Amino acid sequence: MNQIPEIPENKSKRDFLQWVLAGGVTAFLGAVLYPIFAYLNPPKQAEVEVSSVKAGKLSEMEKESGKIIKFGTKPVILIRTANDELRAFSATCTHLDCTVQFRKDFGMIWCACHNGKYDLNGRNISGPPPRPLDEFRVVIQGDEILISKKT
Amino acid sequence: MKQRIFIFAAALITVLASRESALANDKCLECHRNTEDKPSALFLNDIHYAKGITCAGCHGGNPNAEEIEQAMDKKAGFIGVPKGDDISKACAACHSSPEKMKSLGSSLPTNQWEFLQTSVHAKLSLKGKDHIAQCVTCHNAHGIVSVKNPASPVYPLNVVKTCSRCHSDIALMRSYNPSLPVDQFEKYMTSVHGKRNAKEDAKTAECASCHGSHDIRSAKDVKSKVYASNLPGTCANCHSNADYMKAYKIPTDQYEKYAKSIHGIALLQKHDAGAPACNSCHGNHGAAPPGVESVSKVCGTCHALNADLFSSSPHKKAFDQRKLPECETCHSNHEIIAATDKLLGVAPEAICSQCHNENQNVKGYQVAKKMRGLIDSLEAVEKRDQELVYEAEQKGMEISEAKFRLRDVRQARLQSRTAVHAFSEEKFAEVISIGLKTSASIEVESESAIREYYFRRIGLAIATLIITLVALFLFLFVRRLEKKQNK
Repeated sequence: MNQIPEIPENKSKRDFLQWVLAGGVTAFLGAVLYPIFAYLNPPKQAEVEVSSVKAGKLSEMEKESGKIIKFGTKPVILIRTANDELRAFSATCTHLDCTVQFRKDFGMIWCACHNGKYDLNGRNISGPPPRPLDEFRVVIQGDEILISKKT
Repeated sequence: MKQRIFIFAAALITVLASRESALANDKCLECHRNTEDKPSALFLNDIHYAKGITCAGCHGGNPNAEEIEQAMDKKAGFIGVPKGDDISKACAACHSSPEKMKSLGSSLPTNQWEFLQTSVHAKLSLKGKDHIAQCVTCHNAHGIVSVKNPASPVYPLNVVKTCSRCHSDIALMRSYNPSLPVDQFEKYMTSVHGKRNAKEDAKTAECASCHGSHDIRSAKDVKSKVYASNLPGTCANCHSNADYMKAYKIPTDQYEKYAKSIHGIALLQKHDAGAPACNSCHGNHGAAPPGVESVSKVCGTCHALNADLFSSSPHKKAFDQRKLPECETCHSNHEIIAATDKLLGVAPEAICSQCHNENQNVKGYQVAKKMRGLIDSLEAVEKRDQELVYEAEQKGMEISEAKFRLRDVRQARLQSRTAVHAFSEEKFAEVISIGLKTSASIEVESESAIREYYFRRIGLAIATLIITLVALFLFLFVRRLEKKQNK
């Protein structure tokens, strides 16, 4: 009986294939694990920019009233005047960043921290505020009030 | 040296000789003197007459002509009485020429006409054409004398009346600027400057000291000497000059202190034109230091809540009895620094400790101590809340409501700083408690968000582990099946 001749082993070729396979598996694992790791450790994020918010229903807002709307992380004051006009301004007092409020008895926007006063056009008229409140755009869609940043 | 003296003497003699000759031949003056008219009488005391300038210098014509027709012949350049801007142009013909002024031995600046063009008096026009004010409006036409001469209408002791001729004329001012006050003169006369000026102290500030002379601009003009951000520097021109102010025996460091104050930084560095300048507290035309009792009222024009609270506080009576200026006692006057919580309490740097200690005014000492404790706790919880909200936010959790409410905690802290002025522990604690309650809710919400994050992360890890194990088991299971098939 003839013996099958033994094929000499090509060691260097096998080593090379093993390295390629190991590298491929490592790259695969990296590609799978990195997104998971990145998800678990989210990067430092900046504040989310908001450009427009819904401010409620027009029918639910009385004349000569105001309310604070959350615009991202900043407050916006929405006012419905006696003349039935809707106006919106940044509710952050330009003096020391307190939140301003509508005062029906004064007929103006008022800051409780240092008695800063603004007229219903957002102009600083009394007290320490150095400049007017930034104005926002108000749009009515049906009964919905939308507030957006002025461009 | 001798040669120089000789040249100077020769030049002087020549100038004087030509002057005498010119005046001797000034037939205009000769005739007008004979008619005994007022202009010619005044002109004899005029600085221009003294310099040898004849009537023709401004009116043109031939001053040497014997006959009136020749003297006042238009061909000889006679212009008669100049009108409107021609008046100032006639003055500027010499006063804007350095050569001519030098030849007359004058060292006066030659930019008055140029400056006048930039002034509010030139910007506003008479009948839409000519400047509202001409040189002669302030300096007179005939009988003009040096500004250093007490007879001059622009001499420091006379200039206020000169300006007020127009500025106190209600009808005239209404036709140009109806909203401009016309009581500046009256107010000035009640001011420290005005009172000294009335006592013939020519060093004290008058209209031109603050507004300028030829280049007077509207107070709203950024180049005006009295524009908000320029005003402290204008006052400092005199008030920071130790030599100039020596006789008055008042400090001269007000500007230096003001520039370092919260008001000065806002105006001079942050360019906030609404920030208080010298005139906000001292007045402008009626400038005077506010009296002890009126300090709080003056500060209260902007800091109204603080002033109201103070007026109803127990400190009001105590300060009045001791004649202590209300706001100034704790906050200083010119060097008002940003009020921090350090001013409150019983620590050595706290203002309260100046009057209250364990042995003296004990009740106030205890209240101050408690109030400081309360505001410190609010500050501490606010800081902790900020950290918690930030942490939750960075972990990707939705925490915007809590972040929004952080504003309320800060606002409560700011309001408590105002509430301090009531010097009432109860009122102060009321404001602080609003902040503490809001802070507690923020803390709960942000801690809950952080816990939720870790819950989700652990959940994800467990889920990933289970999926991995299932995949591994599946692999092993498939392999076993293959082995079975091969057998």
